[in-house]
Amino acid sequence: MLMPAMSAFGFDPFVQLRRLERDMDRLFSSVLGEEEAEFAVPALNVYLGDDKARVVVRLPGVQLEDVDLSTTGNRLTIRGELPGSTARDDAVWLRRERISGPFSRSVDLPFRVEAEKADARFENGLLIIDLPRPEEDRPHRIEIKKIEAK
Amino acid sequence: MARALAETRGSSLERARDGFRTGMPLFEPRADIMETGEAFLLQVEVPAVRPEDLDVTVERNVLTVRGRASDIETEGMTPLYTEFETGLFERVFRLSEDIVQDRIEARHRDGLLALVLPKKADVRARHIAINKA
Repeated sequence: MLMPAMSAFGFDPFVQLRRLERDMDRLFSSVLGEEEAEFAVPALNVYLGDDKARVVVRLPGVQLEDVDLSTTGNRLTIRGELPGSTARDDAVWLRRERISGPFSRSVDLPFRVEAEKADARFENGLLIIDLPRPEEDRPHRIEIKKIEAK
Repeated sequence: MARALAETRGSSLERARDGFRTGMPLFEPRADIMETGEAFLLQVEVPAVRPEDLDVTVERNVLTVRGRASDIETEGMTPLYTEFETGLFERVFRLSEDIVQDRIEARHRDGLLALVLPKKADVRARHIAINKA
């Protein structure tokens, strides 16, 4: 038998805060009658630079060909399927925490992006999407001229 | 079996209380556990973890998966919003006596860690032939 157990690691009060936050979320979602995370919502981070936006999505076990990316105006949409764990037909599930199934997420970016110049790649289970900002929309530095005192 | 697994975990309040006492890692990755006739199969989600930052150990019937999820390279960029964290993680599993501990295999690919824990020969499922009466 294989059982999850308690760990002994350095104390971190932020872990407790995060746990509390998660437990509160679960409490409220159960009050509202929502199923607890049965739908697939992969977590993502968005970063902005002067020349591009970078969207990073947590998608462990997913391949690039299983993901579909599209843009409409400022909006990026990521669709795909989380494959879930696979085993032979005679395998019996003892614990199932990983979420599987189709997912779709949209991100509204604060500026236009050039979809045709976008670059997407997988690195250790993270999907990293770089969306360049059109040249004419990028911020330009304005030269401040020094006026010589006469 | 599934019930026994759930009980080990305890309620969230119990876990929070134990966490204050023993200290806990930054986060616990999600895991799936399956069983076949010959082995237990364990799949742990370890996205953003480089192979050199992942560590699996077995010591006195305790299997520990620990590591560090790397920060994303964002030079010259500022976060607009972030939903996932990086940093240290740990997940601990207690193994029973029927696992061959020195033959555990681990594979790491695409942000997933897959472990095969073979069962000892005498506890493997055997097919029983039904004789015709």
